[in-house]
Amino acid sequence: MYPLLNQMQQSSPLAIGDGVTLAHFLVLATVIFCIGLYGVLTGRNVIRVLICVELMMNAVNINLVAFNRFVEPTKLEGQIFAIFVLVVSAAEAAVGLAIVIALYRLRSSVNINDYNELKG
Amino acid sequence: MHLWFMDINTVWMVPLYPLLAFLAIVILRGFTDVRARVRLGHPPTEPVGNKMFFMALTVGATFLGLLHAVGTVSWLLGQEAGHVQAIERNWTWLQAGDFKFSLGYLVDAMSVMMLFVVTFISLLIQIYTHGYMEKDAGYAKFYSYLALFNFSMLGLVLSTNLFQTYIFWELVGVSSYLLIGFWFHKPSAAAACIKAFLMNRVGDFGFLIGILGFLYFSWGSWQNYLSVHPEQAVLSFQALGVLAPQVLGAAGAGLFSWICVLLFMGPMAKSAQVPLHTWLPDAMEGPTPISALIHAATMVAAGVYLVGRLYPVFTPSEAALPVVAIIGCMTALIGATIALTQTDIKKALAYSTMSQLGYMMAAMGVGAFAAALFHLFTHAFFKAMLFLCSGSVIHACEDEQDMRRMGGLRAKLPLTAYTYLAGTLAIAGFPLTSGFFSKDMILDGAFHYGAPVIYWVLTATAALTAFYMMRTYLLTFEGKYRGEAHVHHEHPWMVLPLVILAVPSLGVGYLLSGFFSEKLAFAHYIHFDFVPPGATAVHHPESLMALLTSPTTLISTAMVFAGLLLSWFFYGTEAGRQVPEKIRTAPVLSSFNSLFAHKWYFDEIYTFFVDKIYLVFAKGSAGFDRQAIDGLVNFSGQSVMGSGQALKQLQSGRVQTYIAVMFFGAVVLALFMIYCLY
Amino acid sequence: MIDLIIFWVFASIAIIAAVGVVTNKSIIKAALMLLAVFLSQAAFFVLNNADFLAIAQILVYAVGLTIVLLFAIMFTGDKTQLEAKPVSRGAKIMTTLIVLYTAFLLLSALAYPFRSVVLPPDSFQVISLLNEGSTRMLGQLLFSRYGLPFELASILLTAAMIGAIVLSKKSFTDEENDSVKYRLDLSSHPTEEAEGAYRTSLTVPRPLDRELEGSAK
Repeated sequence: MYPLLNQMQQSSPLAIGDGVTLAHFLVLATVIFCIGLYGVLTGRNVIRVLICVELMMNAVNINLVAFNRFVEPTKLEGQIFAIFVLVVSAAEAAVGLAIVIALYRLRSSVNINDYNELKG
Repeated sequence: MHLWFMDINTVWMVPLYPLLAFLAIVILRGFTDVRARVRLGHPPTEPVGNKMFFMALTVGATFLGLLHAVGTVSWLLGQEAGHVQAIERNWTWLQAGDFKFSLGYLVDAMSVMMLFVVTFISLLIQIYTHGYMEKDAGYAKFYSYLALFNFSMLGLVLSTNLFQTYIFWELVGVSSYLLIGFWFHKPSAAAACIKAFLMNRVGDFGFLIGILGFLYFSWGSWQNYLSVHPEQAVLSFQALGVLAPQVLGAAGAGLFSWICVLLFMGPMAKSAQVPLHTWLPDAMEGPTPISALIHAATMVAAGVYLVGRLYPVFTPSEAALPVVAIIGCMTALIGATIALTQTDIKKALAYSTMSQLGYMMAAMGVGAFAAALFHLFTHAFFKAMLFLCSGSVIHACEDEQDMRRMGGLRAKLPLTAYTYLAGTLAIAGFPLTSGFFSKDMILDGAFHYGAPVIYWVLTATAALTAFYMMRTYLLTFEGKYRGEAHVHHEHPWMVLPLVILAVPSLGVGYLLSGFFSEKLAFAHYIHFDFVPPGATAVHHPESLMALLTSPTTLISTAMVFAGLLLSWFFYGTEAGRQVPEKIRTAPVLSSFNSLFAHKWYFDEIYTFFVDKIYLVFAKGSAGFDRQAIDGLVNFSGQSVMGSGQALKQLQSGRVQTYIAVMFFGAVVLALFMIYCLY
Repeated sequence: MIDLIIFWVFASIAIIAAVGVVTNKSIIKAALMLLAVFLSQAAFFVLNNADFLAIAQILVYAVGLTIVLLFAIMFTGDKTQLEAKPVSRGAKIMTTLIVLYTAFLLLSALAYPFRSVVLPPDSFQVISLLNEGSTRMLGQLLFSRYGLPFELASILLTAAMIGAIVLSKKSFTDEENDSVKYRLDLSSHPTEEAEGAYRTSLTVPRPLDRELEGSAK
């Protein structure tokens, strides 16, 4: 299914080889992603939650670009994808922050626990 | 000069006149209504001119109908007696596939007779009504109802088929309901009209099922029949005789008898036959002209008329006509016995009507077809007259109806008294009055029927009839006045119809008996050649003398005289005055007295049935509905509510919880994809 | 070797800054930490031959988004004390578990196939063939094969822009013509006695209501 992966398995199974490998970027992205996830789940300030979402998106972008370079360096699909992620996250941030401002005017609070309209 | 009403093809206009009158009154009443006048700021008096206008509309419509009736009578007399060629015309009203539902008119001897009776008596009663209702606030409304009733009744009489009959059958029921409850502010009247309506529903329910049952088993036959007779309608009366044997073959004897009995339930309720009779006495809560028109002369007789129309269906069945005979016989006897004890003059007349209707039904049952319809014909005149007389009395005595507070009214109301006496003699069957001829024909038919008990019951009923009718006359008009109310003089508008009605009450029997003129013999036009099994053919006497000396006539006349004389002895002489009281307290007779006075406990039985049995079932089902059915519905709602209450705890309103759960789901999905799919 | 050095320098900056984003009590400082993450991110893009993306990252994230964030913080104020409130214990445990679990999942998924993927020997040649970087090629791709998504993205951006303007318009909460306030006032009366499934959150007093009541006094 993945001829490339088969080829990879033939290489040295042990740690990171010469120079920067794909695994460097993937681990880094995972770490940043998890930090962002933790922030999203624990943040009390709704702006901080938004910031952490951006953090997660950036981690994803690192992945995309790294895969592009290490797996299919002659094609740029990964970078194209990263561009669209960038666009979407920019839009999300703009609308999200506008909503935050509107909510703040309504509630004069940025505590995410005050926004419990959906409480059953 | 050619007159449109002499043309038989214009009969379809007859019901339209009163319909137009009804609509006109309904529309115009708004402008002259008392309430409308008050609303518009006028004084709340209804000027006489307006009243006369409404009366003129209704009476005019009925008069035009009477002209048509005269035209049809002359058409009938122009036909060869015994071979009347019926005229039927139909218009399609609605069509569904092969099924065509038609409205039209059927002119034959029976419908001509009914047409004449209805228009003639309606006309007189509408004139009478002006005198009776002059002071009533609902004068115009009353005339509109009268016109509506006329429309329905004439449509019923002219019906070509059973469906059309059913429509107008219900319409007369509605008119009857409206008119019984005309003084709806009286609780008794409101209850009576509901009772009449419900009682008739019971009968009409059976009637409708019977119609559908007959149609079901004759459906294939109609296609063939109507292809030969395209001018006729589905369920046309003219075709019933042809198709009834086929239906009998298709349904089997037992089922066919049930269809017949179901069909008979309609006439049973409408003609106040036992056990569906209890509404008729209560219907006397309506204004007296209504009692005369609807509940004595025309509508209640429609049941007998319909049995006549259904005769071709009933004759092939073994059970149908005996059932009719037995029920008619019971009704005749029960009605007469209850009438013995009544003190309310209208109630007495109502039970008398019921008894006479039973007579007619019994005549139908024993195969005396012509006799039954002849009695219907003569009875309409004298019973209408009797009721109008009672109305005149009630009107004069300031709404007093109890005969115990009347007496000696002949001095103040001479014309009423004499016409009442004429009606009494006619209904009793005094020789040579109209009732004599018709009743004698019935008794003659019963005599030749297989079961003698029916003959003897009917003969005894004749004696009872003579007795109680004479009793009402004597209590009301003879002796000393026992009431307190000031007795007014007769109203001229009310006397005129009485005098006019007295003529046919006394003379029409002889006129149409065949002894006056062979050409005018009733039985030559209206007859049905049928001899019930076990019966012997009726031999019609050739001359009046032969009739008067025939054994049945002698027996019944003797009975009538006995009844009249006994009644005169009890209520007309000083010597016999104490006898009724003694009878009431005698050991065995007192129980009979209470039986009759309580109307054979029919109302009590029905009340018991409804209260103790029906209501228990109803409450049980209501409880079931409330507990089980509603419980099920409520449970489904409450279970949804409960699960919502339980599940809403998950809906914490915290975005981060949602994200965590969502992420957890995504992780599970990812694990699944990694370890299970690859 | 130089790329490894660059990677580790920027990776340490990014991770430290990311931890700071989550843990720093001041929201403004958190936003500035985020700026550091964005910038080191641009370095990773350069390492991966994504020069256009690196510039875009700086322009969009590091400049545009951070400024928007700072504006939002300016509007809402630095509610430092908000973070002082302790997070509930259950939420903490659950979050920690989920994060650990995710980390384990990702690392184990990574360990197997990707651990030894190195840059193919000819990849630098490919890049050098391009010579001027990937920008031209990206542009060609965006306007040919990815034309439709590109246009859709532009529509998305327009919609987001309009939405942001509408949402944050001042008249939305104008005191004189305040539809939201009017709705709140109306809803507070008839639903006060509602219970059970019919109880809505509108019946619960909210900070603004309290504020309005306070200003009325």
